[in-house]
Amino acid sequence: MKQTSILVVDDNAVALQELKDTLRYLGYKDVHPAGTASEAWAMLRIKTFECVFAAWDMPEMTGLALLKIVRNDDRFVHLPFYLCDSTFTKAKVIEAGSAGVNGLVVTPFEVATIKQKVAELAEAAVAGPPSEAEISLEQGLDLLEGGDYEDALAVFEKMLGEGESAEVYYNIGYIKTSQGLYQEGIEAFRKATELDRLFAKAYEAMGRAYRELGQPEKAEECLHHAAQIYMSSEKDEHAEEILNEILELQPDTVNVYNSLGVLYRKRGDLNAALHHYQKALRIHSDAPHIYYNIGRVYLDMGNVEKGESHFRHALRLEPDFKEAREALDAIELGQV
Amino acid sequence: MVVGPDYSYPDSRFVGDVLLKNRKHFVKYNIARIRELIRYLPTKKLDLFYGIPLLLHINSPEYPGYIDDPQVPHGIYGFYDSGFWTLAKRRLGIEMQQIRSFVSKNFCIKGLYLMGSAGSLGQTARSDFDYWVVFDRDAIDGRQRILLRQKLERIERWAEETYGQSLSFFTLDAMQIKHNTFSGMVEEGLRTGQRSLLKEEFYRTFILIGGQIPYWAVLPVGLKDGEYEAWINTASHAGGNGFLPMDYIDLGNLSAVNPTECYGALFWQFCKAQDDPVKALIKASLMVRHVFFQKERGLLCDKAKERFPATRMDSYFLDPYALAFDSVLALYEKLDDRDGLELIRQCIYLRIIGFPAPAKTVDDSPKNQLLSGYVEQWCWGEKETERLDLFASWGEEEKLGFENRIVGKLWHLYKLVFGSDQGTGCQTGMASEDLAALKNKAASRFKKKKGKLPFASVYLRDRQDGRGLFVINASGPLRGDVWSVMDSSAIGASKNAVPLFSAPELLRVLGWIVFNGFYRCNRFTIDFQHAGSPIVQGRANRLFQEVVSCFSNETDPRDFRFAPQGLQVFVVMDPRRPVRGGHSHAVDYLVRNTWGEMFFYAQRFRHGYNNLLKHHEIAKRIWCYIEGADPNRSCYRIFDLRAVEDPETAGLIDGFIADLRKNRGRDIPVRPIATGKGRDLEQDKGLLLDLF
Repeated sequence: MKQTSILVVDDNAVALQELKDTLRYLGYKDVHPAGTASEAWAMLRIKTFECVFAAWDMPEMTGLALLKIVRNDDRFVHLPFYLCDSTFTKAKVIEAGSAGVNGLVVTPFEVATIKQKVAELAEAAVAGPPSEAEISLEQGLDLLEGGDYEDALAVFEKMLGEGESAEVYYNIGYIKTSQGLYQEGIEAFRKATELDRLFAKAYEAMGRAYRELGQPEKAEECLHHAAQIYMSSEKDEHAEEILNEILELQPDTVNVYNSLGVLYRKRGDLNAALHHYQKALRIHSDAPHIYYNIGRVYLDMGNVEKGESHFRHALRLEPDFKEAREALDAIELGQV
Repeated sequence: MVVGPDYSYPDSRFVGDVLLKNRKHFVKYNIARIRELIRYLPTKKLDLFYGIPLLLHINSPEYPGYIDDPQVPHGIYGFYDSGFWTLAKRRLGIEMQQIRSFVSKNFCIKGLYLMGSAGSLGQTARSDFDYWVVFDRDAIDGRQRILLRQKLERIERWAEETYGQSLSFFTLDAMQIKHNTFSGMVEEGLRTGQRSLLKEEFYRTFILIGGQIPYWAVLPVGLKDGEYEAWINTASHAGGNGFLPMDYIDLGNLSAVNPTECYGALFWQFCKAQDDPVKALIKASLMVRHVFFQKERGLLCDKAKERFPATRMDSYFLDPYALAFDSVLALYEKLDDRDGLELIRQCIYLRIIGFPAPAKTVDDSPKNQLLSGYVEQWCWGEKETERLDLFASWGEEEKLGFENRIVGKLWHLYKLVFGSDQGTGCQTGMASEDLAALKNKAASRFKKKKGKLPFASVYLRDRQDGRGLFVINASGPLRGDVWSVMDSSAIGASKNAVPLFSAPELLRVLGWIVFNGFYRCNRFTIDFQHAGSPIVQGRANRLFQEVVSCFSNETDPRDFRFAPQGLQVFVVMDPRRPVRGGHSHAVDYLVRNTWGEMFFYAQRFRHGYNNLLKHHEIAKRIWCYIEGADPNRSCYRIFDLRAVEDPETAGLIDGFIADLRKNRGRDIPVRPIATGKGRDLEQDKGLLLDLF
């Protein structure tokens, strides 16, 4: 019988029971259910738990809010915390990642997924002290800086034996691509992004490795992902460089024109924004969000009629487009 | 209108062209504001928002707000050309034939405007809607105004009952606004005190819902009064090129905010701080900005108008609240008040995420954009933002500490203004009775008095999740006998859970619950955890019901014009509390005065004390509390907690009080305990408040 003490939190009694039963089936007998995040928080303060599984959506306080409370308390900074939800959008992943989640569990879950998550716990528990890892990383980086790739690689690979790290994988990828081993580099970058989904530099490097391998679609996908992460963290200039790099690679890339449009509109350069949106539209004439974005630029320019017609077009293409519907309502109601 | 000799009449064609061009900018701005309003409104309330103009436009028994009188004014200028009419027809499936019989042929309402936080970053799911309903005084007589008011009140009630939305309609005639007299606004302190200040807020925040466009919105920025009149005069005779003077309304110019109004307004914010300290500090800081930096930095509403052409959809750039936030941040920078700057940043952050009950902001919404910008600009880490994001999970003490910090800052601002050159010998511009009421209100909320029950945090008073509060008793050799109010979520979770409020006396605890209104509208369920309690659960419940019933009346705002008088007294005989020394027993009193303040007092009697004398003492004490009050409003109630009630108790005390009432003023000892009857604040010189 495994002694790991696990707290499971869900307002849905059926889901709560299911997760509890699964954990017990996996041999974890010390499983404590909580019906609300508040209850879970109260339990955390009076009993020691080795792991928390919390539903994302709960009334009163979400699992994410609970995670934030937990991470705000010095005692629980390293407490393994998993969030469960039926769908994880990009925004949710970013938010959960920023809040310090250890993993995401998509519901309905497979028993194997839960088994793997809890197994990771055990591995983490026996991982070496971070200070040693830090020392090794420092050593590896010094070697890398000095151009001693082989020795640096040996240090990083040794580090992986002690525990996975996004930064270590990134450095291995860097060495491999420098040596012309692009496919191996890509594998390392991929592992880095799996561990840290917001690792823009790793996506960027992976994109460039794909470009070297002559796979422009994959290169574009990775670079665009990197640009979006940069844009979301207000690093617009870096994002712009990457977006223009993609355009050189794939001149007919709708997403890049759209992203550049967003970027220029944000800067107040409405003509440049419109120009890029229109280019995007030429490639994809049935993309509702581009019509919406053009509608916004026209409205910014004071051309209400053109704005309105683009919002209408967006709505025709996607009848449930909430933002376009709201913008049209606002135009209808705001005009005098 | 005679125009001063310095101002030449602008050419009418030029005026028409400028106004039409500016109208386009204003319309774009209006659309962007309505788009934000729609974004932040829950779907159900959106239906209400869409329907309001129609309800003001018609008077039909089939629709809310109907008044059975042919004279009731209704009808909004230009309504049939508006999007609200198109939308109403579409949403309600109205056919023209159906509505023709009851639509207005007269447009009594010149303009309908939404002002305040609606359509701005300050809007939350629970924001009120404040509509200004502007009419022409020549078109509506006194009786019709009353009818209009009745119609609007019916719509307000209907909105509250059906949608849970607080709506307020302020009926104002155009001339009244032009001359900055807002006597239609009933809230005390606003009637006479805030004139140009209120107009500044109106121009800065209004959204045009229907009717005529205020000339101010389409005239050039920064016109002097004479220039404004000259432009209006020319515009009213202009025509052609699509310019129609009748589409516009003259609500007056605003060239400056009168600083003297700010003194009263600052005072007003002091009172409002008890309900929303975050909003109060931001608004009070704006007042200070008006006092010190208006000349240097100009009017905020003018700054907003300057930006109309640069309106962006889905952006905070033109948001009136963002403008106000930037101004108050600049104020604290200018004053070099580091502590104030940190506090106002926290208040701004909380205001955007929805104080006192923060909610998640929508990704990439203007709220999120502004917050991200601020967080970066202020170099805040995750620790700062997360702490504020999790405001709801702060402990009660921490929340109260934060509120007190804000009140302290308000006090600091108040002294800053009144101690400055600008504030020397200042007049508030308010009628003396309004000023007295405001001063008393501030004193009632913040002045410390013996036995006074404290306010709970705004968060707790505002919370509407229907969760329970538990009243529990814990006794022990070290702690004594303690009654505590616990949040239901804390019960059973931890033995060390911190109570929301504690006292040795059950009556004091119940008074705190009643004073803070937790029992109202089923906002909280109140339960007694009786294990170990010296009072059985049924008896405690009955005591609570009696206390609630005794203090169920609302206070009358007019009472703030006078010194407070004790109004209701609740007496508990033998509250089963061990009294120090062990040779006496107690009588507890809960007293509420005309200002709504509640006090707890205890009286101790030695065992063996003559029973008759004891009853006389209790009667004297009750009489002391209610002596000065209107006998028709004052009352007292006696609750006996003894296992076997003494049937003579109430009769004896009643008899003594009747005697005391007869011999009013005689045989009464010096008032032993103040019931909040303070000195006459109006006699104060210098600072208008002296609370700390």
